Amino acid sequence: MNPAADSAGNDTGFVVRRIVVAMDSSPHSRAALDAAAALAARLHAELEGLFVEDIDLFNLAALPFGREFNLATGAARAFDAAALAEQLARQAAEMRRAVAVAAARAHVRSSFRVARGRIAAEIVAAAAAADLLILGAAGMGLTSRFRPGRVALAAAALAPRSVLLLRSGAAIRGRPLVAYDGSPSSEKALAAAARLADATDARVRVLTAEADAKKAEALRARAESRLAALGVRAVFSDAFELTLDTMCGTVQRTDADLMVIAADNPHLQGEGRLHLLQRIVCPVLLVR
Amino acid sequence: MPIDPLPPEALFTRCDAAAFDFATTDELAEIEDSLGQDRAVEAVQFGIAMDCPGYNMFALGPPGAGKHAMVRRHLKEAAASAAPPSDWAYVNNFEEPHKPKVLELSTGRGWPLRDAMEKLVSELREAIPAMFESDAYRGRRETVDEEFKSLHEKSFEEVQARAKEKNIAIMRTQMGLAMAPLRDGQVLDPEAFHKLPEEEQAQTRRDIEELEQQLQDVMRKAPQWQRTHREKLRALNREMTEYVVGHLIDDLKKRYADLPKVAAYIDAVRRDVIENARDFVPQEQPEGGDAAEAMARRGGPGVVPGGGDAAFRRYQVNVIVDRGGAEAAPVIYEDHPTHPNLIGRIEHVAQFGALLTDFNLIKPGALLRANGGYLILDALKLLQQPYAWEELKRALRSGEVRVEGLGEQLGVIGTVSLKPEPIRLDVKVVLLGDRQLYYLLAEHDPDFRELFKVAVDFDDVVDRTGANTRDYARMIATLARRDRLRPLDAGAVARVIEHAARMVGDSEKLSARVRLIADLLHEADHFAGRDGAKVTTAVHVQRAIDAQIRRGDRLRERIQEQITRGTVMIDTDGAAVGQLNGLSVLQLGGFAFGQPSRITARVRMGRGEVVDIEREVELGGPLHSKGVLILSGYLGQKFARERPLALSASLVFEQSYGGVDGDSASSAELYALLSALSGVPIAQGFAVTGSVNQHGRVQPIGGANEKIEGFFDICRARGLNGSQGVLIPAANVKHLMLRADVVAAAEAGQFRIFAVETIDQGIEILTGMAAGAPGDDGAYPADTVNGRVQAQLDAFADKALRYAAAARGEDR
Repeated sequence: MNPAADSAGNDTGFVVRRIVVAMDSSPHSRAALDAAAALAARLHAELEGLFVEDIDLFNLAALPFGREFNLATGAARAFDAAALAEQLARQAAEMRRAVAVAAARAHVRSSFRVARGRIAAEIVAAAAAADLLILGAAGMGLTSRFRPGRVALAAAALAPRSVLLLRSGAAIRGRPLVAYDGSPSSEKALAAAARLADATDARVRVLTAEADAKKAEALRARAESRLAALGVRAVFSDAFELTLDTMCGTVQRTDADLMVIAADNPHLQGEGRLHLLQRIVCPVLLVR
Repeated sequence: MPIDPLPPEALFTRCDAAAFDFATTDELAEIEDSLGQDRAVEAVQFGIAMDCPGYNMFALGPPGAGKHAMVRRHLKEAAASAAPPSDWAYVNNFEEPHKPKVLELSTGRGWPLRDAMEKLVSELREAIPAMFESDAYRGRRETVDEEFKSLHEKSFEEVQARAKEKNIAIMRTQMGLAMAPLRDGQVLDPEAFHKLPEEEQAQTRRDIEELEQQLQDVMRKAPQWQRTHREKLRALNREMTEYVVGHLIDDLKKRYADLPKVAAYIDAVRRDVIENARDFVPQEQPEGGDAAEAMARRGGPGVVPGGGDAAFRRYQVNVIVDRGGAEAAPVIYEDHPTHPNLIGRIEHVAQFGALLTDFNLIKPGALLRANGGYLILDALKLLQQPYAWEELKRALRSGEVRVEGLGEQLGVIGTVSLKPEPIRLDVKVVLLGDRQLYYLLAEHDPDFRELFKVAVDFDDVVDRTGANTRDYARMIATLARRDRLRPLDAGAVARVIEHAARMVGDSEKLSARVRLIADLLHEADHFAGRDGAKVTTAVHVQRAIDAQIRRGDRLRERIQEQITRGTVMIDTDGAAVGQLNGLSVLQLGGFAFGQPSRITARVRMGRGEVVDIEREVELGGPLHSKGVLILSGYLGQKFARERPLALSASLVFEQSYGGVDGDSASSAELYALLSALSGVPIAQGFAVTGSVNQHGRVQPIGGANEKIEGFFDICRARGLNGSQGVLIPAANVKHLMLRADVVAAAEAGQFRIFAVETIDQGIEILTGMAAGAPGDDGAYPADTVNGRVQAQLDAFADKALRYAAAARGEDR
């Protein structure tokens, strides 16, 4: 029997052979690279660094009135295409080095690619060729208040594969919390959580929200047996419903450091994604 | 009239043990002060009582006179009745950290203040972070933050909204922001832009320019908003901290309300804590470093940087003098009076190659420890330490102590250092030293007499009266008891007292050098211990004295050996003309001994000069020359008042290759001269000491005991024959404290000591011939020494006159 398939024959495995990490020069992106290298080592996957040169910046530079304002001083200066190209090349070289160093440290194979185009589209395209896309959850916003980047939102919505979003300062130490309702996609999320649980203290916190006691019991038993089959212990938390609020609250109350959710979770559709990313308190893995 | 030798009892004044009314010193009461130092005691008491500047004391006297003990005892007595003085502490000066402030606190309140400040800081380190964590603070902080953020975002959002209206994208670039035209949610590429109608392109440009202007306006206002935000936060922090800190500090302040300067310091602490409340939050990381470093930077050069608790060093209290538990004023003896040990020092810690310091590293010196009391110093040690004397004078003159490193004072160290506030000084200093040092300072240092007005002059000797002898016994008892020695029996005490007289070379005085007596007691106790005796007796004392001599007399033995072997020629029997044994004293280290020297005189006709050969070869000192010149005066007035003194005489110390000084041999030289003139031989069994004046009176000299013993030892080595002896001036009889063997020989008639008052008395003893008194005509009888001298001088004069007449005739 395929351990990665449920009784109905759906593929519930979480197999990761190739990880793409999308990079820019923000601190979140550095955090993403470190997490990606660590996960690649744990999952025996190959690591690819991707840096997208924003075509819109080149378009702006080519316009006759393209100007740039310094954020600190407010001073304006001409936005020059040659200087932009040089700056981006420098950034790319720096990132290439960072990827090589991180991969060497984690003893994983790595590659680095520079693409030019619209960032979200390029990242989504690159994700299609990988099993897991990792990216910093926020770019550099206009204001100090945290706002999820357009790119992160687009990737969360459009990437055909699982997406791991994290912010600077976050580390994945292997205490996942998984939202589980018994659906096929939540089965897959359960399997992903099991893979990411700490090897020495293998346990996954399962958050269920089933009003009917018997059904809840059955749901738990099922999750428990699934996890047991993967050699992982289950710990349960209950909620009235599986909303983003209850998930975030559970993370805050427990020692969980990674939120694992099926990407097709109804709460994550439309504005829900924005809502989630705004309230994000720990790395989030959207499982597809 | 012939003179008899001195009776044995005149040679040694015994101390009669039987006269003592005690068996051992255990029965004697202790004596408090050093014996016979009434002048010094009065001076110390006067110095203590004089409460005026400059009435510091200098205790002068020979080493071992008990200066330290006596001075210390009187100071302790005075200190016991005085209230203990203030405590002193250095604290941070929050305005100027490199000028630490000093706090004067009433006795015993220094350490409690230090502990209270430590407790306060520890409480603040809990209370302030708790305040920042509290819901009340967070709520208000969020309100302030929200206000700022809202203002900020609202402004940007307005720009963004207008941009969206006008189909303009605000894009993030590496350095900042840029604007680009949008169509269908995508930035237009140049080609597409140029395809737009001219009017639309122009409108887009205008829109972008307008938006850029708005964006810049917002960005320009941002720093002002941030400033306002920070100020509001600071005000909030101040208000909340004041609330938390206020009652803690008020409690402390209440306890020190009676000390305005301490209260002012506590107020300064309150202001500083409130201004820097964030430093008390451990996790807080101000821009550019951790809290401790930031705090240290604010502290400037006065606060040593460092992590953790080091950040709170500036709230510490450096108690440099604490009198907690003291019931009297301090009496401090500083054994090693270096500049730092005396004045204090500012220590430094090395950090990253730099030397740093703060007020916590100020260390007090002896002056501060003794402040309000008394300080005892050894003058010689003080003067040997670079700059210590100058700094002590400066402190006494100005009435304050300024703790400053020597390096900074001399300008040789350029590191950042401190200028601590000076401390008011109220101390009485007592210097201990020998007389020479006192007189040198008095002569050459103009400040000395101003600052050390009281001379505490210790005597070397004590009168040997009956009362003093009894007190001396008590002093011996005190020393023995204090040093836990065996008790001494009456005989031992008597022997020690006899030796004390011998130490000063005077049968009517006793030595006041207590340390030397204490040394003798220790040594006698040692011999008593070797004998297993429970009580020290005269035998043990004598063994100790003999052992002292034995240890020191190697050179004496060598010199005596040279004489007994005939290398140095000294006759001790027979008779010779113009030749006599003189006596001198050699003092080497603590041991003095006498040494005979052969003095010879030769005469011939001449012009009245007496040639001092020692002087001619520059081996004789001025005092010796003076003595020799006096001889001419004597001869002239006695024998040649009416006629020329047609004499040429030469005098010499035979086999003397070192210098000769002093006039104690002048009588011996005169005897040799009289013998040479008269042709009457002098008995060589005699040695002579004593100076002479122009009238022929013999004057006293020093070292009579040693001189007699020195000649006695030679005679004894060759065999005493009853004709040997020494002539001493009569005025020296009271100084005789001769060795027991000399006294015994005198008793047995084997060795004689004559006390003479005049040269005539002496020459009679030496020659066995009458000296001769002048007749009415002024002439001396022919068969007397003086008569023969007169005859010889007359003969010289006659010859001289004849030669002179003949010479004149030839000239004609």
